Amino acid sequence: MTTDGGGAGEFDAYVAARSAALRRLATLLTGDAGHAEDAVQTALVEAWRRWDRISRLDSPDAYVRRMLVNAARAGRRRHSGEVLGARPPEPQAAERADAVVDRDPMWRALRRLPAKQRAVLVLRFYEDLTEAQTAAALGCHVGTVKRYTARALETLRADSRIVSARTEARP
Amino acid sequence: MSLEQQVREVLAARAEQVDATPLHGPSLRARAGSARRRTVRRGLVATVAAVAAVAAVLAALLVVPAFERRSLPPATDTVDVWPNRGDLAGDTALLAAAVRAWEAAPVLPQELPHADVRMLLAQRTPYGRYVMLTARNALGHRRLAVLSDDPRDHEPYRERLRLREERAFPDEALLTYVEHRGAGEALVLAVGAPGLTRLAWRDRTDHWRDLASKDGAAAEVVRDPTTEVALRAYRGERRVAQARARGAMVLYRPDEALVTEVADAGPSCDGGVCTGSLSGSVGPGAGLLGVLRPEGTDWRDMADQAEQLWMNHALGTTRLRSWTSGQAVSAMLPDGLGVYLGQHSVNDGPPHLVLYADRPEWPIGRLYLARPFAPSAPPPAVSAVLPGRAGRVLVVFAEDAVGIRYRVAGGAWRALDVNDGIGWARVGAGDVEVETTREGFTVAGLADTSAPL
Repeated sequence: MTTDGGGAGEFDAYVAARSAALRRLATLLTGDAGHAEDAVQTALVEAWRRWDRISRLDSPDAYVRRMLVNAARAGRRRHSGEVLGARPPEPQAAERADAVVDRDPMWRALRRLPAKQRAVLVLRFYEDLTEAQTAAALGCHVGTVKRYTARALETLRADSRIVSARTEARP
Repeated sequence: MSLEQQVREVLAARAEQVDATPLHGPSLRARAGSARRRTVRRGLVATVAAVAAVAAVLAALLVVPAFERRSLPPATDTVDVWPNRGDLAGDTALLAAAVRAWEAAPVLPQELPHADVRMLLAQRTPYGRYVMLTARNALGHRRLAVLSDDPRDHEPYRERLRLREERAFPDEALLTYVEHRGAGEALVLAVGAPGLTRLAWRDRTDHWRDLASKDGAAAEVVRDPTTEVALRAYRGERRVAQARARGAMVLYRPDEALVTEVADAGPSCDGGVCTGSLSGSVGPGAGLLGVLRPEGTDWRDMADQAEQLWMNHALGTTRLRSWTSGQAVSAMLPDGLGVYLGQHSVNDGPPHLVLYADRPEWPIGRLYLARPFAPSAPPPAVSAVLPGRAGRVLVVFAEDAVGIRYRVAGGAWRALDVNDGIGWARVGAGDVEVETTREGFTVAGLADTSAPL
């Protein structure tokens, strides 16, 4: 439990330095800025409660990252329950609307991946973690990371819609 | 580029778009403190609470069958008894106009006619009058539509209702619509079950802000929204619904009846009507692309409708991956005849010249010409005969210096004044011929597009 002012200052400095990066990571993990915001705050609130231990770790980032991954997963479950009786809209209109909003087909394909597979890709290719570090962040075996990575890339590769696609900005 | 590299780049690009404002450490610590106190209290009274919870559930099930639900049911279950809300709720003329505009919009023919049309919200906003309607289409599916006019549009189009969004009726408790209007503003519409006491919104920030709502409905311009807007509804202090809304774009469906494609060939006259696109050589310094303005047109409604209709026409059932909307020019001709010519392409396809015309009494304009061109050989000019309210109107897009003349039914040649890239003239019945008087610059043929109308 953390109560002293020194720890508070250290925590505040950590938040100031790292919260933006955590927010980016959470957005990539959840695919949703709102959920990401919730996940980052949940993780950091929890981090403060354990800050006396976390601050003594060689790599507080790794610990907080794992908390963030868990918070993102939990938030995803919680938020999915808040959308009451969500039912997929009629496909053509929905796909077209989504295409307009999120025109990058690769990003859309990434968002369609199962959460764990997407998390593996984000940690491996955005955070540049090793397979072992990714496994630690996700709380799974290295073999699982390898399997998820292969499956996710296979899914993306099979998605012909993203082959050679290019997104152009509107002038 | 390898797939892994593509993934890296997309993730990095997405991450760059995320709001990088650091969070506030003291606020997080304060929240942790209150959370910890709640945890302690929960621990102390856990057993009692558990017993009380069981008793409460039993009471709810056995004694109070009508126990109020924690969450609102989906709107589909209750919308039939929702009242019409908004300060224009009693405007029957507005309702009639909205129904007409929705019916006339190019939805799939098999979806028409709509039945059981009901107005859910009619509200005057700084961006015009907004109407939210629901109806069942001919296939039996409930649909939701948002229409509005725009006081900033060109007169006489300002009071014409236009379909802004049309989609399947969402299986959610809150009906939402968010329209990003630029300059850090967005219009948020939200309608929930009657009796809601508070509606709130937030974007990426953590600050929930109240919407000015009345009886479960709101229509408000909010400041500094990001692309995602979340909405919450409360009954008393209890949150009973949450929904997320995104920026919308009208989803017109392909309707070939609204599009006249003109073959990229020489003129062909039959029965007094000539069809065919203009063709010819481009003289030094001349060419149609010199007419189009790099910054596009300030007639945004015209440009948007042209773009939307063109995209749906060009895409058909193909998925949209990318698009470009380039240089354009537009003008208001007599009788409110609006014309637009712009460059568009979808899915990395070739650029097309899109000619679009509109009249105030039409629910939506018509796409008349959608022809591809090679950037290295742009057409020298484009002309068309359009159906003005008082008769046919010849419109020519060309550089001012080209020197255009025309004649009708083999009559005398008349010079056509071209200013700022557009020339026009009323023309009577008969073949219309257009040519240039500039040496070395040939324009022949005419796209007479008045026939479909």
